[in-house]
Amino acid sequence: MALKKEKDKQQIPIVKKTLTSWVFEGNLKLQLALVAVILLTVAIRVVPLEMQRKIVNEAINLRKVDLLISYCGIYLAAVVLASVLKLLINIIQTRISQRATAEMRKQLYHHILNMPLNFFRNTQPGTVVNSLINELTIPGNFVGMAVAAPLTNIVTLLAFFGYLLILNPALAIISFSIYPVMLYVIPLLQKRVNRDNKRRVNASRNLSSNIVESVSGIHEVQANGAFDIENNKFDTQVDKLMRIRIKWSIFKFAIKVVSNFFINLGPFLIFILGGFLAIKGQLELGALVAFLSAQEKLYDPWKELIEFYQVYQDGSINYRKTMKYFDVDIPNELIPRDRDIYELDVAISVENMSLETEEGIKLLDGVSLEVEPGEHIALVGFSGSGKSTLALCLAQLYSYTSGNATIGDKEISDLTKADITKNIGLVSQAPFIFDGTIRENLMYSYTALHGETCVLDGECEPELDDLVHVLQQSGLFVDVLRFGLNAMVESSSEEFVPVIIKMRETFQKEYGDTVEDWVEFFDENKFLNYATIADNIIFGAPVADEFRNQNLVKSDFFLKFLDDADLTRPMLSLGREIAEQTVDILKNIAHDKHFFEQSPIELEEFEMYEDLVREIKDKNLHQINKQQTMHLLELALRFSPGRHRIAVIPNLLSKMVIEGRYMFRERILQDDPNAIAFFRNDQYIHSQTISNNILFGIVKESNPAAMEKINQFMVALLIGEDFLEKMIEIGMDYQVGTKGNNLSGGQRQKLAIARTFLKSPPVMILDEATSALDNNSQKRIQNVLSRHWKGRSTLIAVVHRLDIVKEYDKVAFLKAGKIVEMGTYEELMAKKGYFYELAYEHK
Amino acid sequence: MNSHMNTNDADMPSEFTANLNAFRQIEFFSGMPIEVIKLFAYLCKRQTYKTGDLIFQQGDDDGCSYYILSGNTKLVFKNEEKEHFIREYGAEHFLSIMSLMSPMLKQFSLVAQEDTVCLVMTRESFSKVVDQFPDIPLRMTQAIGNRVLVSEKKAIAEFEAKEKANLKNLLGISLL
Repeated sequence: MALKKEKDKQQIPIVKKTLTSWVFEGNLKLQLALVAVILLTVAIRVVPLEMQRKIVNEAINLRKVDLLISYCGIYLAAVVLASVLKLLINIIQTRISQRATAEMRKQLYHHILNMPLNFFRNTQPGTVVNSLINELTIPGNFVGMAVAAPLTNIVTLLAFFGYLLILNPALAIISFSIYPVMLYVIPLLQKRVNRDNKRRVNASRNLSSNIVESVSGIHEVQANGAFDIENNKFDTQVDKLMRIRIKWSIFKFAIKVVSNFFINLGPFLIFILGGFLAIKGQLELGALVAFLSAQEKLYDPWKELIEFYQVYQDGSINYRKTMKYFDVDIPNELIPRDRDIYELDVAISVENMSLETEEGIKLLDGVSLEVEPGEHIALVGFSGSGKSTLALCLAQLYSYTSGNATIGDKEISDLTKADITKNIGLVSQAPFIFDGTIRENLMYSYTALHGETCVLDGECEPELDDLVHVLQQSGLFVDVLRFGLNAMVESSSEEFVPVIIKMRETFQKEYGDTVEDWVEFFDENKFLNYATIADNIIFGAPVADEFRNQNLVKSDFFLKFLDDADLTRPMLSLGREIAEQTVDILKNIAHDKHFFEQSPIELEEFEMYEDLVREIKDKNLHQINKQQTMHLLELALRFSPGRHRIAVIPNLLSKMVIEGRYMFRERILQDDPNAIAFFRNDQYIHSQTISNNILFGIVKESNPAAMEKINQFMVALLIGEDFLEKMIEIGMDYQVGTKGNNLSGGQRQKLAIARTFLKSPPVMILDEATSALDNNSQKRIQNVLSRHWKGRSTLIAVVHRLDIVKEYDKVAFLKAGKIVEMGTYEELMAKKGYFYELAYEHK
Repeated sequence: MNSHMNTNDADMPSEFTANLNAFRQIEFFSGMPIEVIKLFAYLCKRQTYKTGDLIFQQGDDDGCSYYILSGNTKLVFKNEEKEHFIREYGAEHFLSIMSLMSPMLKQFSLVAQEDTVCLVMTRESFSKVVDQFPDIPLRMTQAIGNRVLVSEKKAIAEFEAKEKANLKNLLGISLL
């Protein structure tokens, strides 16, 4: 079980821990080692003082060179050793501090992930990020210093005091008399620092929330031209923070100034009193030197103590405020303490369940419901009727405020997260898809259930057949197949090549004539509208790096060829048109990858091309510099007239490109015959997708019916060659992008359904899980639910399409948080009540 | 935008420019900033349909709206008994704009009666544009409201003239 790891850590929740509890937690050995090194260091630090006294009193006074050399040698050895030990202390201290910070971050993050959903509704992501990244740094530093700083410096001070006390008690007491004064004054100043630091933390938190809010709502700000409102809001907060930080810093500096002042008073006292005693012959000159030297050496430990004191104060405030912010009761424990995770009998019983908000609004009002194991029930009603809330309460994502709800006779609110995870699978209306591959997302719930280690080690990894099965059930199979067909085969996967070449032959033989209108075949005498200009010129897959797409404009050979073929100038002109047009359309809007599918410019290049367009605005092509020329040529080379509809390739230029194709081939065959693998019907083209390789051409995307037919032909072919599963495997490696942005809304829903099917939970809760799917896909999934899952998994589905409700054993109609009608589809239709009215309206 | 090509066909408009010109004529886009219309023209896709091809299907939520650039189509409604022909839509008709704003099942099917070219806008692209210009749905709702009101007035006029009882049930849609 994945949650097993958490079991050991299930002691005190992090938000209840004190800052000082971190000092030894997990660091006991390191802290003990530190104490040993510190004591040794302090002992060694006293040696130079004694040596100074001996050098003056014995070596210099008695004029003994040998004594001078040995004392200086000991002095030097002590200084070197003290420095090495100091470095060792710093290393151990840094380790402790970083381990503590990392552990605090991990535990707080684990805590945050378990917090109730309503906490996140009122919390800006910026606050969470700031707390995890910034606010825990100083508390972590404190943990690193907690033993080392006070111990080193207090023991050093005591050691020096003791040594000086032996030399001259009166002078020692007087020179140390300044410290009690400081111990009184500094905490007074620190109180002010603390007060301002608390205000600083609050102000920083408000400021980061404000930044997140205005960035998230940038569309609203720009659409309303609300720049002044937002600027004023931000400026006011920044000014407030500035004022707080100035005060905070002034008081921090004041502590340093006061501290320095008192420390500088030390030598004054020693000179006046020690000098008087020396003149009177009551103090040796060597002892006076030792006193002065000790005073100087006291400065560092004292400074470090003050710094530690400040880190402790700042760290405590940051830590307390952070933990207090997240100190929200987690309603359900992660895993059971003294029992195994339940494997529940999956009958669901809800009795008089209500959910009332703090404002007194009843989202659910006395709901009662009985669901037998394996039974399928549909929740229907108008939006806001409470159907999703009911479903989410059963999934423990919302906590009901009164009444009872049980799964297998166990009260849902008493179950741990692990019990819920084991027994329930939830698909929400807008499922979250994580950055990664289709396969990783498909296995997300399965892996969470069985544990990452178990799955990664292969002990409980699902079979490929299982994955394919759920892809088929959810209807994602065809999409994954398309991803596979649109993938490139790595040159390392050569085993595919003969199969694909064979499929090409079969395809041409069986479907060649049928698809003629829909596919642009690789014909060396034709310009390919759906290929880039670079592909049109090279008409092959580059083998030499020089001719790979991104390197073409850097190749002298290629640039000379463009000049000789008279292609440079018209292509520059085309590049300029593409750049100007794209910048004109997409300037002043927040950028999204979706906007760049129709242009050869990529999202991350947009700013550069925006600058370029501005720079060349009033220039003719012969006036632009080399860099600009290269960028424009690059755009033209990436331009594909069939895909990028923002510019037109003139007929003359397409003819010149075909001419150029022959010329390029002639030259490259003379210069480096192996640099390009030219498109040949009997060879695999690594620069093209699998689909293009099978077709030996490119599908024209403009006819949806044609695409559908070609897909059908491909599937037939893949089955014939026993290559379908392999293609699905390749398709499952498709990168879905951040938040699944590379998938459509429907694909995201299908993926979420597939991952729940793969988990195969005893209870499934679908919250409008098929709302973004087309009619056929919804029907297919409903069929799968009715035929395959009925009797196997209990299903609670929030349904918005009433035509599929017939398939459910029971229908509950909700209105204003209450179940106002319940029965079979036929019963409710016969009753001619709310459901009948809604169904009639739908019709 | 000036083209820098010195060739005979250099002035041939790009697909984007042609789309832009078409969209500027559409009532729904009137009053919208040119930046928005440009973005729509840039993001929509040209789809071609052969005679008999299904453009959209009754009961589906394909999340798309269709602007017919050329060709001719027929709108049909199918029930358990038979297929009913509703009406024809030719070039310059803009259909199913409400599908862009929220999930909505198509109540009819649209079939190409001859080779037809449509500009197709998806809900996904639309929502990306709305992210940039959040007041678009409001403007569109106003346009749709006006359209509903005009249709209602026509229906009322027809009802008053002929007192068609079957029309009565449909009246009042502008009160939604």
